[in-house]
Amino acid sequence: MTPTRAGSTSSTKKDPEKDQQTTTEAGSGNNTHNFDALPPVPMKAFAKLPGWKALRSMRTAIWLLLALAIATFIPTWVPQRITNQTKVQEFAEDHPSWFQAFDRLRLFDVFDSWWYIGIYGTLLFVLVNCLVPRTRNFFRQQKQAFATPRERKQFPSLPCHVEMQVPLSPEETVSLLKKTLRSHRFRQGNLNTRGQWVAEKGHLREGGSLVFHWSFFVLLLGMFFTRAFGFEGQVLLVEGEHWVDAPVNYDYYNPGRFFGPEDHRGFEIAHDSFEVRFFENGGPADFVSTVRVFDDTNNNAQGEKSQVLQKEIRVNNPLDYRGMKFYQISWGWAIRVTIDDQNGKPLFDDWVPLFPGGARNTWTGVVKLPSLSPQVGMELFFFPDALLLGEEEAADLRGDFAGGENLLIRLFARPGPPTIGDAVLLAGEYAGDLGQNTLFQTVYDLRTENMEGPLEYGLARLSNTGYRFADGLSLHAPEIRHYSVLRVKRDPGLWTVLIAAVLLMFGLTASLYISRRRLWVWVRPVEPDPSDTNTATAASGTDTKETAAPRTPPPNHNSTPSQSGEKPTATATESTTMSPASPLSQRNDVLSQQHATEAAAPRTPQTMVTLGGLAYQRKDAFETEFTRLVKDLQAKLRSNQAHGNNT
Amino acid sequence: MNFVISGFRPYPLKHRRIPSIFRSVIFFIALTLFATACSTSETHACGAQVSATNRPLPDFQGTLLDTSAFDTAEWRTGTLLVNVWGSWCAPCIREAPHLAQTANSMAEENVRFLGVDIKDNRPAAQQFEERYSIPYPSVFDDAGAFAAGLRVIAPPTTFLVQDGTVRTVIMGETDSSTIACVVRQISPPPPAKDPL
Amino acid sequence: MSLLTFSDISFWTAITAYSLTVLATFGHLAWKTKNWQRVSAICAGSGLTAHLLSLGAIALALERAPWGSLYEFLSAVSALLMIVTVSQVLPKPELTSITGVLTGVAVMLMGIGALLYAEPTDLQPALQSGWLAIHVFLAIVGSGSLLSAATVSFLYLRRLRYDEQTQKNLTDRRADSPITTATASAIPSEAPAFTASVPDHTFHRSLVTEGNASSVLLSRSLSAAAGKEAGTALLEKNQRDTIDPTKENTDNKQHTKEAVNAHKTRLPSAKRLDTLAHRLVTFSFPIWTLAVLMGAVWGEQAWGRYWGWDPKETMSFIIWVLFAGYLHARATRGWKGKRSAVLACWGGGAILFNFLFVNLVISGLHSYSGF
Repeated sequence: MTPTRAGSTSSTKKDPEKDQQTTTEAGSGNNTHNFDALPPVPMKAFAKLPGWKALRSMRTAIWLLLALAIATFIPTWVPQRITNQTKVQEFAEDHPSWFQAFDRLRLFDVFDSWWYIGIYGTLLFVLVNCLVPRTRNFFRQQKQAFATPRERKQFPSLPCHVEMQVPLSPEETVSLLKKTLRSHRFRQGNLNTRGQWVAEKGHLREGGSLVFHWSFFVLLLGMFFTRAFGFEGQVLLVEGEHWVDAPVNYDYYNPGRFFGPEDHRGFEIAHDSFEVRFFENGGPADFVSTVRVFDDTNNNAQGEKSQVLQKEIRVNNPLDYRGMKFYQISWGWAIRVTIDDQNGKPLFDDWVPLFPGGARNTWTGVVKLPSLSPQVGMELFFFPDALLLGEEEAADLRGDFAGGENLLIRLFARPGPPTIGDAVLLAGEYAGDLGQNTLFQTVYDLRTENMEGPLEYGLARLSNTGYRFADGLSLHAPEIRHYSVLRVKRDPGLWTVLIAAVLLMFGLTASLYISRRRLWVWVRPVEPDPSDTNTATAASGTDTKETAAPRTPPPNHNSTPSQSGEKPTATATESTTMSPASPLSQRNDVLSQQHATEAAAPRTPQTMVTLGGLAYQRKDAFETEFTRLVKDLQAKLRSNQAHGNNT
Repeated sequence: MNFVISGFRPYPLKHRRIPSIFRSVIFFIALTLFATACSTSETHACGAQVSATNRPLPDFQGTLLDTSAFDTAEWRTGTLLVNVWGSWCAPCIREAPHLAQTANSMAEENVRFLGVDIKDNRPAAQQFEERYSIPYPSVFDDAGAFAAGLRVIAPPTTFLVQDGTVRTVIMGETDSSTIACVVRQISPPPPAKDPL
Repeated sequence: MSLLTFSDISFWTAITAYSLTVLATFGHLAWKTKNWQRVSAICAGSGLTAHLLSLGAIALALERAPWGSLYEFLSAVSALLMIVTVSQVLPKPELTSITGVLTGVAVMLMGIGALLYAEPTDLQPALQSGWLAIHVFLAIVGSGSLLSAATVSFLYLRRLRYDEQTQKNLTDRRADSPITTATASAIPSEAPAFTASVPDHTFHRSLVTEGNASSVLLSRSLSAAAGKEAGTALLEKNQRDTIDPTKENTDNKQHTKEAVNAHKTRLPSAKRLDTLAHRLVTFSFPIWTLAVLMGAVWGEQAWGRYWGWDPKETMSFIIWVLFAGYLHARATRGWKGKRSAVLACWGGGAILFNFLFVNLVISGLHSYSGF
């Protein structure tokens, strides 16, 4: 957030020991406030490489941010594998040639593509490149005295400045000023030989900015932890089912690079019941899975398990057990399907999960019988509350009705919440090769490419009236239950990410709302007559003698007379250039009038104080702050003077 | 409503067994190197999907497919081959005839076979056993508890157990020669090759 | 009358009052009388009251935060926009034109919301959480104020263009004058007193241009010429500017002075607009950040992941990146001013896209509007 830091470091070179250069820079008048630019970065060999400068520049960073925004915009138009695998598949089937080209550009996995990683990688590189020197300087400035005292003629160029004569010795004034500034929570640098120092407030702005930018790396570290050591899976649990935490039992399983099967806890979950409530308008109101967790209390995966807790998992209320979190994701119906052969020997008896079909309140599922020859597959259609129309009624509703063969087109789902009413299971039978070895499929799809069918539609009602197919298979649907889909997660990087988010927020707030302001202070003995340098030197000499006694530590600047002998001439001529009557400093007029009255007090003014201030942000607020500071300073001076007079 | 079911994905078989290191941030890079080192060095004589291990056979009490009782305590002696399968699993169907044949031929060598049928239903599993004439019994492990103890990642997986200790893991579909190789590695047939 | 009916009536009252505000603003711009301004203030105030009552009625009737559907969300965003307008912009007479534009945007959003009207109902399970109030509230505050910042930035660009044109006109007319391409420092103090001869109209306009150069130049030459009242009044501020022509000027005193001149044009000065936009972004960017972060926390709780590149999440990230770009650009030489304002406008476009297109066309986990 700091203006042109990266850009200006290389261009603005400044030696803190040579004030001369600063003066000329300020004198040019173009950019007066750039005096505290960063010290030059030593040129390394690689820094001379072409393009290196661009990698430290804010301009590059902005272009990269723009590129990042545009790249992130692509997934709005192109389906992504991570969010919508089926859309990608559809796209592949609809436009195979485009799909090839798009896929080569990794447009379906934008966030894992080399160019996306390239953009943010470069951005992070630029960020590090800017942050490292900034951070170093931040800490260096904490230690070092605030480097640059200002030349006197620069003071008027500051938006806020004041000059006053104080009837105290320079040393007393220095200690008083330092104390006052400390009480205003200014951090202060060391006094230099000419009686100048710098005070600063609001350095946390830069600190906040640094924290904000660094926190992105913490964030990425957390995400990396999750990718490496975490795992994510999904389970589908029918009511009454028991499930054990192990890789083999997940319906979707995506472990991190370093998450092995031995990292699973091996506890057992019993899905006791699932409940879904609906609003009057048919929208779902609540999903609740009630589960019990069984675990060995000695944390031994092979030991005897006992119930450790019971919990209702809701949408906004996951189960958190031993670092594994279980989230309620979705739900559906599972129907118990039994299939017997012509002799009444059972061939299949299991809970078949059903997924929402195309139409409202219709559900579909699959039964596969791979051990029969030929293999048999059944497509299931389930209507929780069905309306079976007669042939004529159906013909009225659907013009192209082609006869009563296909029961499917005579079935309608009653509107309303999907609760069980007149429940009907329709099964379409296919025979042939299921293609389990040749065609890609999950247990939830039926590939009918190598099969004949539908040979026949069989209709079974939930009330145990089954259907006997022509080949002798008989179908029954004795029971229906809910199933619940839970997302299971282990996210070891979560806390790192959370901490990063908190840091990011704090850093951002500090960097936007704290304003940095600086004061330059110059305390020096008053010269009674600008033309008479000798008296000035003498005065300063006596001052130092006088203040040998007071409790304040002797300031650093009781230096050689030759030095103070040179300077006053220079400053004296300059002091005329800064006219107190200038329209810039009306407030200062008042102040200097006050000095005038003070000057008439018994003790003669001994010390000249020049105070200049600058806010880098929120300049209007700083003006009032500066005025308050000056008023406080005057009050302190006055009370100190009174005190001094009394004693 | 939002249904996100992806069904069974081919499970990645790439994870290595690395001690639990979640808490350690400092050793991360070292462990990365370690992991990559592991991945290059570890190849078993009997094939790429075979790996050696050394852990106890987990305790499990349950029922067999024919509903008779099962306890691992009875299976802790001698050489045992455990095959994890399901009637719904395509590679299990492919390897079933090989397994049946190997089980018959190894019966004389005192190698016992045990199936573990996971996430299945009894009628379908029994149909499967009948169709491929599986000669050995199978545990009916509907909740996947025994398979979890065995640390199965996906069926089919075959384990060689020597006196109650799991010695070898064969991940994925297997055949007679791999099984024979694995068995030979653990217990070379004593009478034939011993002249004394 | 049920609370929901009351809410609907108040909503339409608010839309009507806002439309009247827009009309009154234009009236004010056209005739510049105090009465028009008073009318627009009254309309905006009463509209906002009705608007807040409408939202409050939904909250009371359904005992939940009044931003469950897209209609309610858009209504809440425009309410926030109006809160910003009424509290920040309306009291300053020099910003009247912005009031009009911001209110116009609010009316537009409410109109779209009314088109998508869905009877406020109870919420689906994923939304039944304390996070709804926090996350969506922050999103409303953040997007509302970011949108107003983008609007102001857009106006800034218009103003800048206008200034460039007037500047060009001026310089064309004064092609022979020595000040044509001058910067402040290059002007000799005894520059010819050309301003006196410039027609009033042009004079005032060029006075309030963004570039300090021109106003400094004018006032200097003014005072140099005759020390006229206007000139001396301006001198003070301009000398400050002379110290650093590039420095950001946020001085209140100056604003009021500028305002005197700004009255003569349709829009506030470019500098004023720029400052306002920047302040709005500074205010709302952390709020938007917090909204995104809170959304991540909620997502972690409800869906089991804090970030999943859902279309809404993607768009809010884009908005975040664009305004982050704006904040950086505004502090970078070469990107200050025009280019950063363009970035902010893009950000505003992204917000509108997020409201309308993503909500209506693309389905994701965030699709919770009433149909």
